[in-house]
Amino acid sequence: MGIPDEQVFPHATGDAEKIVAAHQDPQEMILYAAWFCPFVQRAWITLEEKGIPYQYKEVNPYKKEPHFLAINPKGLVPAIEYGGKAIYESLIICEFLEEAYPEYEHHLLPQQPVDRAIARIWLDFLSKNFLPANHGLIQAQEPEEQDAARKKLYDALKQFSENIKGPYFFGDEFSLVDVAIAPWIVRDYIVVDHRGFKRGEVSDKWVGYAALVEKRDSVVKTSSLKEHYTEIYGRYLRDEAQSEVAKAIREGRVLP
Amino acid sequence: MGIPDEQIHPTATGEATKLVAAHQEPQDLVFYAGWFCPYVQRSWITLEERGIPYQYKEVNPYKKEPHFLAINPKGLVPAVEYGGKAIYESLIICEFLEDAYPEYKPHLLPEQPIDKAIARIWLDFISKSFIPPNQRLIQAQEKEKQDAARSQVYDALRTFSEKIKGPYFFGEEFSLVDVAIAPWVVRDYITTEHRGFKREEVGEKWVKYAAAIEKRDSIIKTSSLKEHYTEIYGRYLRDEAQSEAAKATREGRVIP
Repeated sequence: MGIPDEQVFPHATGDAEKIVAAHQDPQEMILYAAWFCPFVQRAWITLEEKGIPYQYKEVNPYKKEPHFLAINPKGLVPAIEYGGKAIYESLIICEFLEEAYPEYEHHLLPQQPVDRAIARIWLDFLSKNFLPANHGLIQAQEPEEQDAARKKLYDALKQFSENIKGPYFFGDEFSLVDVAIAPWIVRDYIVVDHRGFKRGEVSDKWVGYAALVEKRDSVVKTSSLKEHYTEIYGRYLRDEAQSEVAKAIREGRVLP
Repeated sequence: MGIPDEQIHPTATGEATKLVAAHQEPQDLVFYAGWFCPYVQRSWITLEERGIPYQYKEVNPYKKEPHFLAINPKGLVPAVEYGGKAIYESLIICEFLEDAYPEYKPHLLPEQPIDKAIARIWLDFISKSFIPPNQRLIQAQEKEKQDAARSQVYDALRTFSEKIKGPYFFGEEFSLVDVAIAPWVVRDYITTEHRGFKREEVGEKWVKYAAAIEKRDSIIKTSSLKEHYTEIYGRYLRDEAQSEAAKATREGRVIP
């Protein structure tokens, strides 16, 4: 028996459709993706920023193909198949792309070990402080829960925003820290339209930063038409979504 | 006003005392530690495995020195001060040590990018699937909660255990995956004595692996006398502990 989430629009649209079409030839590296998933978009932006060759394969996360599950039993997207092995976890994939393709510019992590560690600290901050608050806000049903979640979200973004050097997080260079938050910036109209979120409530710096990130070519190219996201986020707003992330938020567990 | 957790034994004891004494000279790298903290032990094991020079500074995490907080506002241990910058998060520190001291052997992560990614997937597994239920098991007061947590711990360790090549996770070479779980292996007498945990219930492979881990020199050298841990874990068992990890577990939040 299927679940409503299975009936998600089956492929990328708009700008993303062109990118998908341009990446159908077999390559050393296969990206298993879902066009709408923000975690996938992190890996996808990284591939596009660095110009790494890849073959794009659409996976319906709620109705997975046997081959996909065979190489990747955990069954989550994004996933990469490379040299007969599969890897997953969006940020682990991004680090892998940095290391496996060192000749592809530009580098999205600082070269100096301490600065690299500081970048990873901010990636960790986004995972621990930003994502749970943002997803918590979307799925919260009661006004008090929404208020509490919105406040946590503002706190996290204010802290992040204070550390933005500008124009990007680390200054002139677009980095993995920007990649890691970009997919949620381009989706923030969801919490603006439905949960009272305002970029201006974070800070002026945040307004400027968000506007810049959403214009980044690699971010624009990997985004589909807004109307097709509506069906999906509607389920999150009603707390009916069945993704692993949605279930974890609902149950107060760690995001898988 | 102080809290009971402040009255922990102030210094390392037993084997670890010698190590602390041997690392009092100023060095490029300052290691801020709490002698009893399992997260600290991950970074400490890494330093010892690789023979990296460091200066050890004891921090009472419940009564932090101003200088420590000045360079590391989040105030958690372990932390490393290097070149005037501070980094924290146990696994980020371990990766930093790999990046910053490439000439020190052994390397604790595989060289090939895809294998490195797979190692990171297992580090992520330990953080997401093993540590939270283990922490809940220790802090749970009611039988059903303890049973539920114990069952999740067994599931996680069985999944992990299936992939152990032996004697260490990746086979002959001791790696960061072993480092990441070792501090909890050497503390499992807590859940054995107080929460009904049995290594045998995980499986034979786990029994062998745990025995190999607890004999590893770097692990013995960074451990203190058992009786001094008792005061600390007693508070966790009564769910009175005030560490950030304890509070997060109690409140159903992500461990910071």
